[in-house]
Amino acid sequence: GGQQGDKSGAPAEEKPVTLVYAEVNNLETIVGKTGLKFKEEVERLSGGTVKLDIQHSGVLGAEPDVLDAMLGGGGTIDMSRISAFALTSYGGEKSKLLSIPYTFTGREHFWKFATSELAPEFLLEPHENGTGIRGLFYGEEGFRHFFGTSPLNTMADLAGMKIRVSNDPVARGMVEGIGASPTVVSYSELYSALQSGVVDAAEQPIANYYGMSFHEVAPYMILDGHTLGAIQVIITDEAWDKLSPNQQNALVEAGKIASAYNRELSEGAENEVLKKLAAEGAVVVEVKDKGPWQAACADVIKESSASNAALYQKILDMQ
Amino acid sequence: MKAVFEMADKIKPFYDMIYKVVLFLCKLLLIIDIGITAMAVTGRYVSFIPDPAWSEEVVLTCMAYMAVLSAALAIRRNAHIRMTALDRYLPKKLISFLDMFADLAVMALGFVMIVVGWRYAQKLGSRGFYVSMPSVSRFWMYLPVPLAGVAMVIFEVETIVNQIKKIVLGEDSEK
Amino acid sequence: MIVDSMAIFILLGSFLLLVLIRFPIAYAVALSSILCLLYQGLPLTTVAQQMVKGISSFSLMAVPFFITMGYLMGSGGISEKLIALADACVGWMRGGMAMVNIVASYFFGGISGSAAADTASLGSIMIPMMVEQGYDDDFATAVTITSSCEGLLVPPSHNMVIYATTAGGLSVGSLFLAGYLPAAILAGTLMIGSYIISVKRKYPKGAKFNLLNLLKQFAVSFWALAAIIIVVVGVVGGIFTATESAAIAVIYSLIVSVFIYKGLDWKGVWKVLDQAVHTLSIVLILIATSSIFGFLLTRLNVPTLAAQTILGLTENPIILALMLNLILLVLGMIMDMAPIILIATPILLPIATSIGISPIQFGVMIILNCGIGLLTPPVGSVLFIGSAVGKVPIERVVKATLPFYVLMIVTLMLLTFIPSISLFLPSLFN
Ligand code: NA
Ligand code: NA
Repeated sequence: GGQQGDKSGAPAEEKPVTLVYAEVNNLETIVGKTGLKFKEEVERLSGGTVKLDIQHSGVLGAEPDVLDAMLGGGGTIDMSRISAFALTSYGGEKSKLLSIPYTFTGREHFWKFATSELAPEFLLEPHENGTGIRGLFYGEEGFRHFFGTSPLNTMADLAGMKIRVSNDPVARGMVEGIGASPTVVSYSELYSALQSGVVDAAEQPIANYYGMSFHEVAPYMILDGHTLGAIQVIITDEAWDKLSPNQQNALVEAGKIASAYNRELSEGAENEVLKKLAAEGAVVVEVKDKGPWQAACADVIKESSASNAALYQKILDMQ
Repeated sequence: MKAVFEMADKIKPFYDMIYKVVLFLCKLLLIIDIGITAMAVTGRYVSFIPDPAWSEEVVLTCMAYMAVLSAALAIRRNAHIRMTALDRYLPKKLISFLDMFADLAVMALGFVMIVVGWRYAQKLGSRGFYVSMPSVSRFWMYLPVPLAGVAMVIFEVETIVNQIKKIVLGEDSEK
Repeated sequence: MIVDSMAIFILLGSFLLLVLIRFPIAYAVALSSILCLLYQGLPLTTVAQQMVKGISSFSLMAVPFFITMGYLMGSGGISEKLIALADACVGWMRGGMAMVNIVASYFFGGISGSAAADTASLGSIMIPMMVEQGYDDDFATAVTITSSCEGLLVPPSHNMVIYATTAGGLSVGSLFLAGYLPAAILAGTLMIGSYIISVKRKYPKGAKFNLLNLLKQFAVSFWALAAIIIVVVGVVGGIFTATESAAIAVIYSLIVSVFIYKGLDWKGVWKVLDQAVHTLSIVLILIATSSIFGFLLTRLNVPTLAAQTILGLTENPIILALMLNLILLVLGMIMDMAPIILIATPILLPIATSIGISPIQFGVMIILNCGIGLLTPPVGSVLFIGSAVGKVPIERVVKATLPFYVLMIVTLMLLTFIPSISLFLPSLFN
């Protein structure tokens, strides 16, 4: 990263830089499009002195690989879009609060947080911790919901099922809370695992549910919206410090625009996907009252928010 | 030169022992990997057998250790895959020279892996943890790299000493 | 997009040079990557990070497990029983064991969905089996690695899932259906080719077919067959995933070898692990270091550059179709499968559809192309695993595989120019 690009007519102090930006999903997804919008705005606002080289579809590695490369320093990857919870295993105690189940009551709630004065504090947490990266802006890829191979009408239908979740303790705690057993299956084997019955259910945002064709093998989805897929764009301190104040400002302003764009996109895309799912025969059930779900997960909610209880309450109070 | 031959003979039993120890470790790691994976599967169906969240990450880490340690063993057995298609057309002297060059370069690579790998493992270790085990530092995930370097350097020393012996005494000295 | 042709030249040039001067390939890959990193002023820590990433893939775990299983079966008496059974089935025919190898990969490779796992599992059983029956080891290895590509096409195939997602909104179900016939055609061409070679090289022919003997062998090899049945039923029936099945297969072979066939005692099992570690010592480090190389090729935008350069040359649909295959084949020679699918699909798919190749058909083409790439030097994981399992140097494997490369290209042409091979089954079910 930080390679010098062609010399355009930029002011002398603004060295043109190209920043390598890693994106795990492809450019057609909500997060991919958000990245493209960000790139466009950064290049416009910086007068072309900052260019983004978006390496999408996870070709530079999965989220932990990208983070490890960025944390190692040296500029192989300067920026990336990650899910906020990925920072949990790098000491992100504040970021962790965002992935606690049933925290956000709806999109409005999340966006109130993402545009509040609390957000910059959260985004700068890794920098403050000395991890060597900083967040630029928040976005989301929709709420995550459970889906399974047999009808899911209430929480009770999930009880006793083998549910594939990522192996982080909060997600497992949630699945155990609702009376199911968490099962480790790698994402690339998930389609086959649902088809053959190794697992009975899994959870993803609606867009991924449709994008990975999971509805073909697990057509029942219950919209419990346990967590909002909060995402953020991060940059290494190393790359950040190389930029002029003008360029830094361009990134911040572009981030605001990309963030707003993401919000609009995410909501619209979700409704569209829901229509497609209905047309292709998936059975999607709404959840009227999330109270029982929240109650079932009380233990894991309490446990994961304990270290930052006051801050967590602040987020809850924003609804 | 005589010193080199003596050294070659002296270090052999020492290297035989290291080889045995490393091989033992590799086998142990393989058994652990098979055991944990089988346990995790069984644990999904049999309630008293655990199906821990850490199974996947531990299995992968053990695999990384086994990969780098066993690779060093392959140096000693001269078993690493290489292109020998042109050997027929090259003079013997050139081939021993090229082998010597390769061994020295691999040893240099080993040093790079020790320095760079150690620095990286420490840096990541101070910044991150295993996803499934929030108390275990990521240091252990990347330690295999400097370890690989150490193992490579150790086994290259013997190989290079033997190469020198071979070059000086000629092909016939090979037992 | 960063275009740094000097960095690309250093990476590829130094690698090829090192390979030619008989440098161990695993370390040549790492060294040329280091040179490229130094030239670009990037940190060498990338080496550490990418090596660990390279090995840390759960689906890769099947490879060490299946290799261990193969050695256990070989020493514990299971393979012996399977040989006798296969001999009773097809021994009357010249090249019969090659046919067994090819057909077995259609089913077993389909289950694992990975050519590497298929070569590791069937290869470590079948190559020694074939050698014992009088086949040349290089031929046995060549048949094993080429037929392992069937498994990439027969569902479930996680590479097809990757493609479906990358292509955007493709039905994984339809894509899965699309794979059955192309894989069968690949198997067919390989069988014809192996038969001709077997006749030419005068590979042995056993006794006449005898139904009674066949039934007897079935009974005798009950526990051996059960190993295969357990894996197949376990995966299809949803008891465990393909990767997990490998660990279960090891435990099962261990139990049968020690307690039922009694071909091994515990000391013997400990010895068998030596062999497994020896083979793995060659394979795993290659996979680890190749990951650095692939990362750099990706970061230098090599796949995108390759595609853009070649595609500007013509508008003739037939030549374009051939070009698409050529690009994929060339990329396959130096890169692993998943990154090619991820990077090349968005660039090449629009071109494919513009000349009338549907996304589903293109998916089948891309998988087979990348599959061939896994078998070619200088970087080819299946080629390396085959060479390690068969104990045959790669240049001999490559030489023996030459006729099979041709057969695979023939299959590829059939798939490119006859869309219905891929589209017939999906159209039946929609
Ligand atoms: Na085969
Ligand atoms: Na290749």
